[in-house]
Amino acid sequence: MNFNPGDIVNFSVMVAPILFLLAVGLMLMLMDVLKAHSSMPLIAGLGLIGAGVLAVLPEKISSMQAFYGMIEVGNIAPLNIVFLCLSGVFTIFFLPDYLKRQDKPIYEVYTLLIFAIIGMIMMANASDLLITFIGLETFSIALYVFAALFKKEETSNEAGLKYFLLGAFASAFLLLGISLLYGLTGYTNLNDIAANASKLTDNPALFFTSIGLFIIGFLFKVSAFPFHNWTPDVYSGTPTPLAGFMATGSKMAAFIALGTVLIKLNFTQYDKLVNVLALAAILSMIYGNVVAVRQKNLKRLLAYSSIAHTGYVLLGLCAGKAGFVAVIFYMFIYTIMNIGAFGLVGIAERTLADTDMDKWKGLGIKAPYFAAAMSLFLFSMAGIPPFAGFMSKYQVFIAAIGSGQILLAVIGILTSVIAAFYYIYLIVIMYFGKNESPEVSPRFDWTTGLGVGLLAVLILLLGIFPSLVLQPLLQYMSGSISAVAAAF
Amino acid sequence: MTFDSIFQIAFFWFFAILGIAGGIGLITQKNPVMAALSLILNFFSIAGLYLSLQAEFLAVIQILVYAGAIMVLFLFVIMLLNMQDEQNQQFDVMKGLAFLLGLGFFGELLFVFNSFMGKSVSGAFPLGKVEPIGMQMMTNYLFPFEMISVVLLAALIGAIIIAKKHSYK
Amino acid sequence: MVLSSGILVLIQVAATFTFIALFTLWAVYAERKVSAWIQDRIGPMEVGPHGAFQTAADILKLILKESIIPAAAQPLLFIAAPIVIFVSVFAGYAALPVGPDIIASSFSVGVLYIIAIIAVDVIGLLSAGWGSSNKYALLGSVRAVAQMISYEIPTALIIIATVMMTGSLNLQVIALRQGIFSDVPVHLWGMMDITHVGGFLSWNIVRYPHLIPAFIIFFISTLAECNRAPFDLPEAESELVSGFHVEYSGYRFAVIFLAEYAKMLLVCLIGAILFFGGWNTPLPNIGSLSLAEWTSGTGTIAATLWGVCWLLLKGVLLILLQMWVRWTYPRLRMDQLTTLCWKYLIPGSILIFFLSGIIRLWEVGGL
Repeated sequence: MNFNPGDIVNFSVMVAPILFLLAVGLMLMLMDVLKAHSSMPLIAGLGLIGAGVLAVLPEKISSMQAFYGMIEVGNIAPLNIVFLCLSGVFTIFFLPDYLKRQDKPIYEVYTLLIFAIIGMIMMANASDLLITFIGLETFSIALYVFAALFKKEETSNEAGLKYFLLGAFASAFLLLGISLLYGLTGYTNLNDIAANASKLTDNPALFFTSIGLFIIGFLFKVSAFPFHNWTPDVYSGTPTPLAGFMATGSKMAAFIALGTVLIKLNFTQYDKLVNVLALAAILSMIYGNVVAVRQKNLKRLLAYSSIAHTGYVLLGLCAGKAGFVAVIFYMFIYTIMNIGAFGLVGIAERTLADTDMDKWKGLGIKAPYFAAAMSLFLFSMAGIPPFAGFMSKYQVFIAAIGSGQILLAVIGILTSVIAAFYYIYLIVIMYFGKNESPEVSPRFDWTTGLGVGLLAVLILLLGIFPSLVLQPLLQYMSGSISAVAAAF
Repeated sequence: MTFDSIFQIAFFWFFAILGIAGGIGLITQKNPVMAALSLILNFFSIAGLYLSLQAEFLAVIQILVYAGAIMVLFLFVIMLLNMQDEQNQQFDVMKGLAFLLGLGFFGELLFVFNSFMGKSVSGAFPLGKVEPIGMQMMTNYLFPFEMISVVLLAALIGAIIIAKKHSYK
Repeated sequence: MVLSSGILVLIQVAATFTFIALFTLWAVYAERKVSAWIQDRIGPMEVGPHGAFQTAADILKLILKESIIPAAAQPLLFIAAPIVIFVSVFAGYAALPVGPDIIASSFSVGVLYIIAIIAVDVIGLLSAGWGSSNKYALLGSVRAVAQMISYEIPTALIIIATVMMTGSLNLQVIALRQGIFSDVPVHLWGMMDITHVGGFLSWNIVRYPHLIPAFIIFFISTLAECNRAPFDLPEAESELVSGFHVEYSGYRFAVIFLAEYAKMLLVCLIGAILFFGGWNTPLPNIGSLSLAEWTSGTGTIAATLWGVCWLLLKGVLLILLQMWVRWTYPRLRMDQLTTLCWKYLIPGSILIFFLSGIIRLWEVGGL
């Protein structure tokens, strides 16, 4: 085996974001020991931003592999690293305030958040199924702990245990799928598997079993229809901003990883696989939206809406390579609005003593900024035009129609109407509901205010100029380097 | 037939039957301690099967990690929690459904594995001995090998968060 | 052919068993005599000259007695436990090089195998404690397990450190590389080539001085692994009657007893092989006075006898050291036990582990 020191240096530049985040995580552990608690969120946030910058810094963005073909650098990788890091940054805007309000100073959360994002980056950019699995386990373990964070509360216990048991079960399916794929081809490396695609079709039963198990593992992580049962319980037991992170960052990573694997295996040529994904998409959209209508608890409502959104993203995934950009774009927009919505629920949670919808009556008058921000996120989630949520849905539907999945797109549009009903119902409650809530009203402090402001601006900006994100996405995807500088 | 080949065949069947017996014991025993001990038996037999594949390192690590460390902690926890015997449970529709699904999945896997019969996995390198594993870990699989430490660290921090006595209520 | 190789295996097993049984007879007698001398008594004197046959008589009595299974016990676990305990320790002897040419199974991961198979002992202890349906037995076995899985970590780390220094997991090769028959050049402190000098100079503990604290850690943690004083909390006669084997009597008790002494001998022999050159002679070649070549060798019967004698001598000296410690130090408390392991021995062994890596790297010119 030839060993070239120059390669290692090159590779360390390429995996710089991961190594940098690792250093930040260790530093946060040290800060915890040294009792420098107040600046931990700041360091974590700056570290994530730094990692994002490191990801887009290198000029060479053509597709490359690092560490003996274990991880993909270049191509779409820099952008998805940025998006995943941003999901962490958005969460950190709301986290310190929430923990302070709940009177539970658990500072290890920041370290775990960083490690979770390392896992997500690894999984999203893996070019070897081993790395996919290790990345998945890394962030899953962090998320299990997030769910069980408030260990003295019964809901949190329930969330932690449910998520852990079911998550481990799903991981087992994923692992079985990977090992069957290895048994079938003799490789775990995706490029090697893709290069030996004839071996896959030699034994269709084994191939579909293995890839099916693989997909099951991921459908669980993104809470798509038949594997969605844990979602409402877990989200409502998890500390609210972290539930937002769970619903966005981890799903984004899982979708990118699943999409990468499926596209590398050129899955659109197998009708069965597309049909399975399409079925999951349809059922998720219908189930999530219909059940969400009857929810009275905001966190549960957001959980069901999250199942529905998973359906929309799966719809984009069915379109194959053409839909992949739409998938990433959708997930990024969803990250912005969902973390915002969860963040606002978290702020209101302590003040209003509950996450019950009735408590929000009349907030439009008592806390106008708060209600306005919430309305903005809800409108965006519903897909009302000037907001970014509309653009993301539009992209996904266009991709689906472009690949001939007309039925899927129609069902998507119909369920969007149902979705609009319950999102707007909440807005109606806030502005026209009878004021029954006590005199206190939720207020921003400067971090949450800044966070909400930033997210709201992003929603509006991307709603009007979606090409700000779409353009770089397309360019990175096609690997054209020169245009990138222009986009930034 | 030489002693070695007879011994090999006997060795395989001994551990194969023992492993299946352990697996059945695990799911049929009502006493949790006995169930855990059956699982240990199963792990042992799998280590024996690794040995018959000349994967010495894998066999030893299997015993060390699973039978020696993980299962002992399992037993420990069961004994400390003083778990009672499983009560006789009523049969209901969901359980029947789960059973049928499990049976179907088992059948599917049997069908799939049947296609492996008599084939060797192409492209796989001789695993199970110390030297090739060491070489691979430090070259091709350096990145996963190092990154597993992140998984373990995250799990460690998580365990501490959950187990630590915090000052708040 | 089939029959003859089968019989050969059986003979090897029987020989090892006989040896362990005889050793136990001697060791129990020695233990009683040593404790007597330390406490200024005379010890057993009745049976045989200076009480030499005392333990033989005791064991005879034990075997002839009825072995009672308590009514409340879980029979399967209760009966299986002593077997598991003894077999796990006994199986450890398979990878032990007794002499330059004698090793039952010279397979490439010998040390790891021994670490792994000894760890199985714990399962036997747990099932003994649980199967007895006796609170003292359960408490004793829970203590024993907590102690053993804690102290396994420093033991394993130190063993891996010595493995790093010798470059093999095979105990036979580890022993070979500490003497004049080494297949690789032997350097003292990384400078002098002493391949042909041999003797105690080429032992690991002399060649690499950082292994002296390593041996101390190894010795302490193996004491704890054998549940010997000052780490005999699991047996703690004063509080737990006698721990996990309180319900055992007759030949079942004898088997547990045998396993305990077999384990003592096993860890002492491993210590002798890892640190003190195994079956290599302690006498170096000094110029034309080639003491090392006279007192060891390979291939001949005489050489084998020399090797076996040297190894046993080293092992027995270590066992006497264990006994000395037992009758000198008082028993630790549970918190002291865990503190010692997790706060001192494990960090210490990790340090030695790192140091070994660095020294090894320096030796091969990587630094």
